[in-house]
Amino acid sequence: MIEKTLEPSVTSTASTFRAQILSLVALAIVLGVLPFLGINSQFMQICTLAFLWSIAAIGLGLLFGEAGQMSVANGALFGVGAYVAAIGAREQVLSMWTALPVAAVTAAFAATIIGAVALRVRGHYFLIITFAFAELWRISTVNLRELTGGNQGIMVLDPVVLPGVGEIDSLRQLFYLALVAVIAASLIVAWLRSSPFGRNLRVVRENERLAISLGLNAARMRLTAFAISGALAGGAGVLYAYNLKHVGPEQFGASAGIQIVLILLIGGARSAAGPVIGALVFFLLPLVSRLDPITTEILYGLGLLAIVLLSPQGLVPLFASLVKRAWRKKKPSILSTTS
Amino acid sequence: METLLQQVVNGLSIASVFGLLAVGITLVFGLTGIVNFAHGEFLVQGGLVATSAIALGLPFPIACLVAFIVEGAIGWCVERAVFRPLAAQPVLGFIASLGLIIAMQHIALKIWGSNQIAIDAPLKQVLAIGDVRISAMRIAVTVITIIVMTVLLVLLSRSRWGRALRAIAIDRETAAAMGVPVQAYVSATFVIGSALAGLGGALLLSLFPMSPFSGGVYTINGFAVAIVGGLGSVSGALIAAVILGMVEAIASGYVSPVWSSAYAFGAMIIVLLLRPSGLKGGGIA
Repeated sequence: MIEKTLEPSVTSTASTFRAQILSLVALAIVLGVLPFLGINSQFMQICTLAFLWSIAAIGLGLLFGEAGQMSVANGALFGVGAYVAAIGAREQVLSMWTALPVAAVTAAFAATIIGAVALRVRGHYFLIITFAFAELWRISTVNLRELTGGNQGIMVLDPVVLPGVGEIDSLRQLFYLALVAVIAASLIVAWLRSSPFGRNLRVVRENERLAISLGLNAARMRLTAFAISGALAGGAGVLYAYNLKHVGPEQFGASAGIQIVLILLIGGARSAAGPVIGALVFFLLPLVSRLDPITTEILYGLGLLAIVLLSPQGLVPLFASLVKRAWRKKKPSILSTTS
Repeated sequence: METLLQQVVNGLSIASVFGLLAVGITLVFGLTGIVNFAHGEFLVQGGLVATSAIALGLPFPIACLVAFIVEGAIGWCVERAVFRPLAAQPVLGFIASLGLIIAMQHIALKIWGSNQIAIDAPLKQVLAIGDVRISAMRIAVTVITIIVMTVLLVLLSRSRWGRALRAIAIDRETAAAMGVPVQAYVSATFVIGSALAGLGGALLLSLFPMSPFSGGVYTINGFAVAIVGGLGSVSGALIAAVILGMVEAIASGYVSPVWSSAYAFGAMIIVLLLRPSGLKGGGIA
């Protein structure tokens, strides 16, 4: 079963938390110096978008990696956040900063409702309902024209104003805003993973009957994890709307949800830096390979199949373990003294 | 009254397509526990294959047969390469089906382009009974589906093959111990499900235009039908297909067609809340 492919131990926390923080700091430094290395504006823009998508993937990582529950709805929850920001800006009631908490709460609320329906009947139904919700969201944004602008979507023309700095509009400033958001989201999830809540989620994943007999409310814990992943997706959606300056129905259907799943699986559901690396691979690959978009999508589809069949714990962890193994072969003495 | 009767016939033809789609979903789930979200892509691909067959000059019934056979063959490849290795891990099987959606959708885009594709209706006659005007094509679609489904149901409930399938669905290990070649039956079921979806796609094309992006909506409709009928039950899926087809036709006739997928979704949620095992829970026939 799935458990075998994931981390064997339920209780490991402290050391892995430190490792997660270290990998995040390293990632922040590496990515933080990128703009000073003379990268072009297209590259910087794509990195920014990759950061925002990776926030949604980080949230899904909590749900899938710890609670063992997959969802396709997070693409739509991302859209919930983006539309809250866009409608709030159009009606002149929300700035980006006020939209962030409103969108996070709205998306978490939406996730709670979907989850409450889906978790009444467990297992596969959850997946099916999340898929249905993702498509229903797309259909609704097309059809509720007065509210959502229909197929045309909504332009988001309000500037991003940072208190004390003023308007942020250069690509570099937006890049750093997104980077800060990614690191913040990663820290929240890393902390949740190492908290008693995260440990209980793993207990629920590994053995639900045992968890219930220990007095854990398994359904409510999964629902909470789903709501948190929704809140992160919603918050990321706000930043996404302000970055692209436009939201439309085709950006956030089931295909967006599948994209988040793919990003998560490239990076690995249980690693702190993984989703960010996964998103960068996902978005930079077409730029580097110069393939036409349709061929790229076919390769992504086949790539997702290959990952699931060959290395379901993710590509980045696979790569890391290969490097580790090569390292150990070179220095057998260390291994023999420690073991 | 006339419109109502017309909507009923429309509903039955929509129900036919839903039924052909949902049978594959429900049989595969009943036997393997795999949630295959790419199933709607087989339907769309079947329709697109049928357009190519018609473009080559083949008559519509032969094009339907081609779609049936081609999708069955693709279904066999997919089962062999993707779902069989993941049989023990349903969650991974589900994620793999997401990869299949992306790959199949964009391969279709590459071959057939992104435009809506339609064919000339093979039967253009309109039957007039009093004031009621009914398209002959819709009746043909319904009749073909009724014949296919009757054969399938008889096979499932009367033949050795059907008995073995029902045995596998109830208890895989015991069935294997009694000498049922489980793996071969699972493959065959997957092939039949995919082939029926291909046939459904070809029939659907005679009613509505489609594009490579239509798969997602049909997948949801197929799952809604399968869940309302009770995942794993073929006869339940057929009853649910008729109900949802009627709801969709009547609601789009009287309320608004743009929300048609949402009705199926609503029905699915209500059934999940009131009767989680579906209309006919348990038992594959």
